Amino acid sequence: MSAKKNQTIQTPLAKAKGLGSAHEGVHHWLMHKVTTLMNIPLVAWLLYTVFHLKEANYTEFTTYMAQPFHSIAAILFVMVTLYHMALELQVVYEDYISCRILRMFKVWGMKIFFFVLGVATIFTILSLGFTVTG
Amino acid sequence: MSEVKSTPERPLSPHLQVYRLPYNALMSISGRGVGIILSVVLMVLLGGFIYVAQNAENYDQVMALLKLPYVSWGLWGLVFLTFFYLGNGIRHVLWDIGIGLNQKAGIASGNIVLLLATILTLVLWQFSCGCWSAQVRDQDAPVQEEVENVR
Repeated sequence: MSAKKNQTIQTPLAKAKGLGSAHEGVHHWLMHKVTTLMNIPLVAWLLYTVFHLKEANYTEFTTYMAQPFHSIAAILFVMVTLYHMALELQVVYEDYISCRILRMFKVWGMKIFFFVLGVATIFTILSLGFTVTG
Repeated sequence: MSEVKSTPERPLSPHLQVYRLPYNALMSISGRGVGIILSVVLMVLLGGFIYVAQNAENYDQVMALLKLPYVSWGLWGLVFLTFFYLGNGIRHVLWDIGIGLNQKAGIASGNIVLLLATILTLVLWQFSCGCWSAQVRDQDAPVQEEVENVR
């Protein structure tokens, strides 16, 4: 009907495409909530660790971190918080950066940086865990 | 996502330039602000962890830095912000489930979050025997002990 009026070669389907839901975002939201809940015990662990080690020397620190429970908790903390942070900051960037290209590079740059930081931290935790002390 | 042509002059999503900030809006935006602060802190924390784990020299260096009075007070501020952010996150989860979705409940839960964050920070402070800056005072403690021994 309107195709006749507008004399366009575009089909109605082509006009409608890309205007609907992005079909993503539920996962983003759900992961944000799941990591929020996972962070409750992990932050508790972090606070315990900080206060437990506040007067520790280097050897005490490394032996504490080398215990499997604490190594695993530390790795989980790094993974979960960095993931949560990436989701959170992505929303901030999307809300406040109106330039599409800049926003894209900001989000990608942040995620790549978090990957690098996460891998470096986990490597450090593992190297403490697998170092034979004493 | 469909691209809507937007001019940069338009107010952006949370409309900070357009609306005044009543209590709930203020809580909302400070939650986001705290999130941004804590994400910077986390990056520093992880970087610091990697640095500290390398050798004892680095470790002692950072520990000395953390025991400076102003730094330790700053850390207590971060503990408060962490509790605030955690509480706010739980509040959001509850909202998404459908609990507390009206203005009165929003104000109430916001107050609960602020109150709990304050209480938990103070409880932790108490449990850690004063605070980190108390350790700075403790460095003078041997003198007092000696005085007591003499008595």
